[in-house]
Amino acid sequence: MQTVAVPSRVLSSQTHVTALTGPELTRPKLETDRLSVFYGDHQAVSDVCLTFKKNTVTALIGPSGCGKSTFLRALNRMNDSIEGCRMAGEIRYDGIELQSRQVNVLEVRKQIGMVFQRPVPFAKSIYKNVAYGPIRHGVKKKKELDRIVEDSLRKAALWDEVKDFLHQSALRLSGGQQQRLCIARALAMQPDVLLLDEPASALDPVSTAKIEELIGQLKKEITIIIVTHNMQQARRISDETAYFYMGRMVEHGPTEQIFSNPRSEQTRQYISGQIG
Amino acid sequence: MAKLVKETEHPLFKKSSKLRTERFGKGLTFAAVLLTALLTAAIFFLVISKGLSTFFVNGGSVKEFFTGSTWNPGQKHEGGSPIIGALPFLTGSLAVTGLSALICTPLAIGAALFMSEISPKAGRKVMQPVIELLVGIPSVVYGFIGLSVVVPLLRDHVTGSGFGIAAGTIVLSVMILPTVTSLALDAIQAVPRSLREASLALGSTRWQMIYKVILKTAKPGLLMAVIFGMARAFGEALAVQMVIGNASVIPHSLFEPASTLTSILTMGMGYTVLGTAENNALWTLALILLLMSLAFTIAVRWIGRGKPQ
Ligand SMILES: Nc1ncnc2c1ncn2[C@@H]1O[C@H](COP(=O)(O)OP(=O)(O)OP(=O)(O)O)[C@@H](O)[C@H]1O
Ligand SMILES: [Mg+2]
Repeated sequence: MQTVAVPSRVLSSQTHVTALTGPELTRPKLETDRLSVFYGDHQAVSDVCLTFKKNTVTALIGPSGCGKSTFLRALNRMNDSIEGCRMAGEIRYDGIELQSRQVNVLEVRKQIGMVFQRPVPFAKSIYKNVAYGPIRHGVKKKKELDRIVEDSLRKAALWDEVKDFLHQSALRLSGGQQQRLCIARALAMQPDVLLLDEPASALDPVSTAKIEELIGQLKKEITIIIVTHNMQQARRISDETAYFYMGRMVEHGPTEQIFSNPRSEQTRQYISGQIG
Repeated sequence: MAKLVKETEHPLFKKSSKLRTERFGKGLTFAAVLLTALLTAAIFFLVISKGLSTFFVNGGSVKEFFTGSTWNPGQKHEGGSPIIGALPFLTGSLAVTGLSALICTPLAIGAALFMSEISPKAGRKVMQPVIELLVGIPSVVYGFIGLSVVVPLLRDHVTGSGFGIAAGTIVLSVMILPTVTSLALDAIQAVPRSLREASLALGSTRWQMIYKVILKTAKPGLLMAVIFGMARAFGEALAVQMVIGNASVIPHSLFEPASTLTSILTMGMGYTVLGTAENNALWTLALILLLMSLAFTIAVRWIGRGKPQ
């Protein structure tokens, strides 16, 4: 058995690492074990077991209200900030239980970044939007920030469009540009995992294509989980697909198999457009 | 060819009572608007014409009005122009307004943040009703409390008679605090949840989110809240008059009797005869108040202009 580099950044105090055994290669980057999420009495996600491998894109599909967003938000503990929201089950990131008390939630969100359905630029300059995360996490040097901002904007395929007015308000960008800015903002944290909740649903085909291409690039470095209602998109960009229905994960497998030969009749019906 | 229908027989030409009601309603609304507009115009005309006659009819000097510090419009200079140095009131008004905004702003924003971010439950259940209650208290009550509590307190524990800018400022800040708080709360609550989440999702703490995103996004609204408060403080007469001491001099400290535009106006109103120089001079003070409130309104509009809805 080989020892594993401990990603101690996640732990606020370097305590128990006994859970970290097994070769890194076979261990998933992120996995959930019977994860349930409740809003008050309403159970939005039920006993979901899923694994996400490093450098893969996983698409979460399913009809509206089936709990995809809720599941996604559980992964970086964004549901913590919702009053009355409760979770059960486990989420393991590099083998570490994310809901454990010793885990620093700010670090979790730093390493597991998130992009929302609607672009949400801050009422700040483009530069400050991208630098927001790094500054909050203690990057102070102007040079270093400049580099991070340029890098992130380049990765998000936005640099060429905005490099001449970095210090103007981000609110003047178009919707598609704003969404790419939000992706750049998330990338500036140098996350390990990126959660995307229908990132292209409010965008035109050109911007969508850019974001899809970007996802293809990004997966070389990080793990991506994306919620989408667009079956073609799921098929184009993802390596694996998970189908959700009424809070349960019905089927999970390689995208090609899910789309061409699903095991579940329900999945087949959804993919062919018979369940909306 | 289709048969021609006689115009009046076609259903499109039917008379309908709904249409009539609508026309009547429109007429009524229009009349109301017209009346309001006329009234506003009349008030403006009255105040402006009266206010300006100090300068054009009685021959007062505009320069003296803004820079002179002796106010005695019943008396005349040797050249025959009335003595109308309004600087003490101008500074008094600006001082109490500015200082009370200075005191009130951090408190109001703090309270609003507490109610929306820190403890929404307590905010909704306890603070909101309390603030609504406070908004409704007539200003004379604030003045009375100021007179019986603040003034003696200042007299006994600080210095002087207790009357002065300091007392006025304290009373006014307390008076405008509820209004500013509830407007600031509106502004803060209008910041979309998605922005808060975006900040949290970047690993920021709640304080970083409040400071860097919420306050930043709500800034125009918060500014509007403060300006509303200032407008109210500037125009407040009763409460200030009761505690400021009403001496028409420029005070050397915050604890000496002073006066404001409004306090001199209310004090003098009953003792002058329409058309005299003395009376006109009071109208000039009213004109300044009108212009200032106009300026406040324009400022609010101007700030509100760029606000995303
Ligand atoms: N903040 C909340 N409070 C209470 N219930 C919620 C909340 N957010 C979501 N829900 C409920 O949880 C269930 C799952 O919602 P979720 O947003 O995860 O669905 P979704 O699969 O993302 O749907 P969509 O495809 O429309 O985005 C729904 O029944 C929804 O009403
Ligand atoms: Mg959703």
